[in-house]
Amino acid sequence: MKAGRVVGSVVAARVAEGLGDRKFLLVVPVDEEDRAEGDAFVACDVVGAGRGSRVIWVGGKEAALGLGRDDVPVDAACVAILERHGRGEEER
Amino acid sequence: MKLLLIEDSDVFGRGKGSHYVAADAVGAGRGEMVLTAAGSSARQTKLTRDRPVDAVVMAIVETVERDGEVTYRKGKVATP
Repeated sequence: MKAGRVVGSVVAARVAEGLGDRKFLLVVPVDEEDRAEGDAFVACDVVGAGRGSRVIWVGGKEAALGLGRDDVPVDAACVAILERHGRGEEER
Repeated sequence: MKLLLIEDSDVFGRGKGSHYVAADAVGAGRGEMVLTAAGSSARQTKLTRDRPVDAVVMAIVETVERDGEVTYRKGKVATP
């Protein structure tokens, strides 16, 4: 699992079976200091994240499991909203 | 099974010059912005189940919004 920040959203005109009511978010991977680290990608939302949310996302086939099923064609999903994180004594 | 030639794009729908082939699970056509799923996730449609496929088109994009601004809308030509 990795950290990211939601920077936008994607609305679909048509989706594959099983993805009917899913929200797609535009996510930028971030490092420990919340700095963008690489290009934005699209991930399915399963936790009600929105623009500005810091999230934990999972990639690969496991992403579908976040949607509560294993038969949908999804390769990235936001599975948690990050409240704070820390290393040692420090917390952000 | 229909296979499509897909070009990676930015949030504005501008091509990045890199291409790959994906099976089509939604009836996408030339010029449309789409979402694809890669790897074993690509086999999770009726069309591609148990097939030797590692990318599938699983959505046609209507709009993309980034930082509060609509950067892409289906049917509009990307501005350079």
